[in-house]
Amino acid sequence: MSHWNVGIDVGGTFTDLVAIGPNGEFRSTKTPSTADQSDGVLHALERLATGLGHPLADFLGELPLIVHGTTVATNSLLEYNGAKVGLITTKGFRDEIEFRRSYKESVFDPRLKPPHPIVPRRSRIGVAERIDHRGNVLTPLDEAEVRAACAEFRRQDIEAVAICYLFSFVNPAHERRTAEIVREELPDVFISLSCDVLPEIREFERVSTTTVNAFVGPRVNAYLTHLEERLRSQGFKGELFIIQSNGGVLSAEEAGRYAVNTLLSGPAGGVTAGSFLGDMAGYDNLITVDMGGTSYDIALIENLQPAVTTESWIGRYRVALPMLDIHTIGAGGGSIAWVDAGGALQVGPASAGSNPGPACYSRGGMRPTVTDANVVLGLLNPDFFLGGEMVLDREKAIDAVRREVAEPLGLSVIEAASAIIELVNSNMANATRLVTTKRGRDPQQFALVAAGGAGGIHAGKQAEELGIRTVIVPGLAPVFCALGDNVADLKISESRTHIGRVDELDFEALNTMFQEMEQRARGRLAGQAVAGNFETRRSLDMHYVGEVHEVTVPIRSRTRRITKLNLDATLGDFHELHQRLFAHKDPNQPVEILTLRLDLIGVRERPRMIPQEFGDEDASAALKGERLVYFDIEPTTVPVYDGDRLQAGSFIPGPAIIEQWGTTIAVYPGHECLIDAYGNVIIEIGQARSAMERAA
Amino acid sequence: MIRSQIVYSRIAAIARELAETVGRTARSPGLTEGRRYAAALLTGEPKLVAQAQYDASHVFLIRDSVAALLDRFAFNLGEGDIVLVGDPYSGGSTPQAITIAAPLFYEGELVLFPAVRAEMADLAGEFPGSLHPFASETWQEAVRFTPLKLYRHGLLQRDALRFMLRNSRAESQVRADIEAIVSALRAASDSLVALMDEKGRAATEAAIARTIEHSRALGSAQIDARYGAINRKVKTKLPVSAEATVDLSVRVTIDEGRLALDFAGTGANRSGPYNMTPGQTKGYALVAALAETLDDTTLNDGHLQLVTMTAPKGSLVDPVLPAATGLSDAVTAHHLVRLVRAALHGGTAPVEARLDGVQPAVLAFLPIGAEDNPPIRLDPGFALSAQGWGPPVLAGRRLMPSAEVLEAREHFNLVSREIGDDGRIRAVIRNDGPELEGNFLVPRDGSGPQGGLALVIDGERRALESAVLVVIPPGARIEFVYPTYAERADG
Repeated sequence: MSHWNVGIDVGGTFTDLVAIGPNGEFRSTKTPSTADQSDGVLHALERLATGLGHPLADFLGELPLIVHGTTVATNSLLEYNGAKVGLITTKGFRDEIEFRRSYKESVFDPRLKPPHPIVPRRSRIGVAERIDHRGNVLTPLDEAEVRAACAEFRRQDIEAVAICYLFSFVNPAHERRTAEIVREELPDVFISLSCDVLPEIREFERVSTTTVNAFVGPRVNAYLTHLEERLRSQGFKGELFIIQSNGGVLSAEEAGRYAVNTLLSGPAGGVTAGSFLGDMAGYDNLITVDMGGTSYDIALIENLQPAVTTESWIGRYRVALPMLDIHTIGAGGGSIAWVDAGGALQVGPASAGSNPGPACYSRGGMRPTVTDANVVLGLLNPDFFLGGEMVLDREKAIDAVRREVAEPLGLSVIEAASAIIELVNSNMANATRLVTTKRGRDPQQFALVAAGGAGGIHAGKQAEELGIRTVIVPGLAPVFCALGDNVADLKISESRTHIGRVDELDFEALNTMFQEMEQRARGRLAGQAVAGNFETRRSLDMHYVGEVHEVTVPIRSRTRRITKLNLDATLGDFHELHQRLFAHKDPNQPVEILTLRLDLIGVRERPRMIPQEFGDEDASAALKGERLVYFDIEPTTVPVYDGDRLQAGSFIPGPAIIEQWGTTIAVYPGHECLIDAYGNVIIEIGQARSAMERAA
Repeated sequence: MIRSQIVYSRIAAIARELAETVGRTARSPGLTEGRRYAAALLTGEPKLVAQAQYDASHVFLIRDSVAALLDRFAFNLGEGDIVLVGDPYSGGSTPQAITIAAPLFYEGELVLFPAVRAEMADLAGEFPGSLHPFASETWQEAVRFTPLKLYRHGLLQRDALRFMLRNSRAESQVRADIEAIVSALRAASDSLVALMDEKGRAATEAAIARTIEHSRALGSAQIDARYGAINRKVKTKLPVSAEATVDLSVRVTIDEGRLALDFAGTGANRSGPYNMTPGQTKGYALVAALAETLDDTTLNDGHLQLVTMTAPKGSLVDPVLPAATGLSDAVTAHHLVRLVRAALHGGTAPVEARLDGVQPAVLAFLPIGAEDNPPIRLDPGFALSAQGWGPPVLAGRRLMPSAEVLEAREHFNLVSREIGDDGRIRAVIRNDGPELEGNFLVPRDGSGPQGGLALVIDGERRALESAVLVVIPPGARIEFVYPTYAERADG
């Protein structure tokens, strides 16, 4: 029973669990998510333990590790039900978080509403202090004003205090002293310091990130404490880890301290799983896409490393920490199709969600959605939705498509449904193209990993559109994020601003700062027993003098000490990266360093998956029937396979449909699919080749 | 139609990407943080295929500028050429803004023009930069760059570039910005070629034609649904000093969803920040009519076809050479938009959906005489919009400077930046560098100056209205008070 590793991902609808046993065996469960997320976690664990034939307490008692992806931070921010936050900042700058550097999401719309204030003005207090950009104290901290601020916060029942002073990333003394005073005055509040959360230049980005940390921190802490207590009371003696927005995992205690790092805890697991899958299946460069009911998430993985960004906005708040670069558009099964006043078909961004949901759900939804179109075209089996747990009404889907799309456009119902699917595929392909070109890459160089309930239906067509040759639908597609929780390494991302031109760089200072960052990172990973091997990855945010945006360039050095030779090589990489990203470089222009970055990776032992022996190519044993599918205007009778009965080596030429719990996979005409040794469906795209040939 | 939508969505994405790339790779703060540029794709006619912009000023101007380029180079464009124009009287507005276009040949024929219109840091004129509140003639604001070739068959025309750069006090910024724009244009051309390779030229052109037609129909339906048939004359007196005003008068007619503007009765063009070119005028009128839906669509010729105008030659909205036009985006445009929205809404525009809101501005530079003198625009705050949060729509998507970056890079200490007791944003900047000079703009409304500027030297405070060559010695403080157009939406 020992040495099972468990990953649990709590999503909006389901709580997914993947367990990997000592001999590489896999178990997965899917249970409904609950208002108290810990209920769903325990239900999932109980179901797993029961399935393995053990009482929960016995199973938990032997379990060394649980890695958890949680949406508590995300929900707190998106639903604005986080803590009551007070902000202490440099006198004269208390409104930076409201000014947002004058950014509005819309260029022209005068009716755009302001974001919900997570720290209202009455709770933002400036105190006298000032440090200059070299770290010199210009105005000493007025401790009496800090205590007065605390008294006001006490009166307001503030639960968390964010502290952000100008230039605290150069000299954090005032912030740290303020934290000491706040701890004395308000011992029970959560404290978020900008010099710890994001020690980087630009006060708006820093104060926003620090305040979001304060806003979500108490909720995340309370949840993790509650979960851990419940697990311990049920006999769990191992370690509880939480997956971070950067794709790494951290102890629950450390995750609670920097809760802002868990904002992408859910989807991060999917990207990490994509990297794991690519490694296993022999693909280094992948695009992972996750199509759910309301959104479509896209992420890029190059050389098995997921792309990272520091330019995120979440819940209309700026979060400038390094996070996996997950691009989301409003395209999902619930996206509504409609005809605009100019007579053009549109799909989304409005969604029917899950309630009332698509018309075919029979929950009162009257407007046609992508799911309805898939049902009309026969791509989705109305009697096998969620493995048959939910029956869809095809007539209602037909009626909605006819009324809202076909009749206004003068099309047949099939033409209208095909148009809906074609358009949503195009929207998703465009978004995917943008993600790759933004990084100077061509999508044709990547394999497409399609997860999420609806991903397998649409992936083949998107791949054709993008010129991608291979689609991988993971065997564990319905619980993909939980798989990622299981395989993620420990990771601490440290950063520090250090402005200076490359040709005037003080190497001693540079090396000292990197050493300090590494020590701090190691301190944060101390005490855990999950990883013994550590890797450090250092990089520099660089730009040509005058540019506003930076390019993050890995430092080329084999030793801890960075030399001029290392830096010259890194500088060369900067010019090449700039060329790749922006089609432009100028080696004669002076280059400036803005931020030093260090990732400390605690490498976990990867689970050992047992490959299945390849069997007969013939998949007929898994054939469960056939049905009419409209890949085009004319219907085609296609074989339908039971995905759970397919064996490694099974070969299925398109057109065909593969159905398994939670996922339907369409193998389009001209495509071929093979079940690999790990149960993944590998689809080769014939049309992609011809698209490439046309382009050539 | 669906196929056309799919092809066009790729084209629109290429235009957006072109704009994003310029913002990421340009060097001057006016482009990287001020976002004073727009990017577009045009046909060879030229018709606007798709445009991405961050403010309302460029709506018609890229197409009009490219039309001027085509007019000049009609039979003299070849593969690898890149052409440029920066002239209020050749389709532009402020002469500091240039339009660079890269004609794209496919199968030997000119098919498309990727183009970028961007405000340069300095292109000569009486003072560095683009803030001259009293200019009478366009040459006081900048050199007029009438159409010229920057590249011929892929080869840089060094004499043309040298001529431009030698006419700039911010040579390195202008050079870097032009290089960034040219690189972005070439990348956009590559993307368009790849698209036509994949989808075919005919399908691409068909998609463009259909989408323009669809946008025209959709925009027309939106105007019709929102405003119905209108024939209304409105006028206002635009204050040009404490005592004097100039008439701005327009009859707005909507017929079958099309907007016609007749500016008969509008006063003559004049000195100062007031004159607007016809392209500017039509663009702002279009924004006034469609602001609520413009974010949901990609601007193209279908939208531009919805607006026509007539105006007396030599008037404020159709000035004649050499009248200065450089600052009307900051002043007259706001009055015009308010006026047109009033006409569209039965005589009174809804206050909560107001788009305009003028605000003061300061441009600082080394004392006149320095050869290398890139100006620094000091915009530490913004007017509070009529929606009670953020800047007004007409302020565009500017990125307010970071106090920490200003101090670490530019030797300006942002002493404070906060909302005052009266709800206005107030900011104080101290000059921690060498002596500077500055041009100040305090625009007026019917009720007087909007916002305020003051200079504090050795404890002595001097309130300023619009002024030029104000000496800003080391240690001097500039106080900014920004107007507010509504009560702050409080949390």
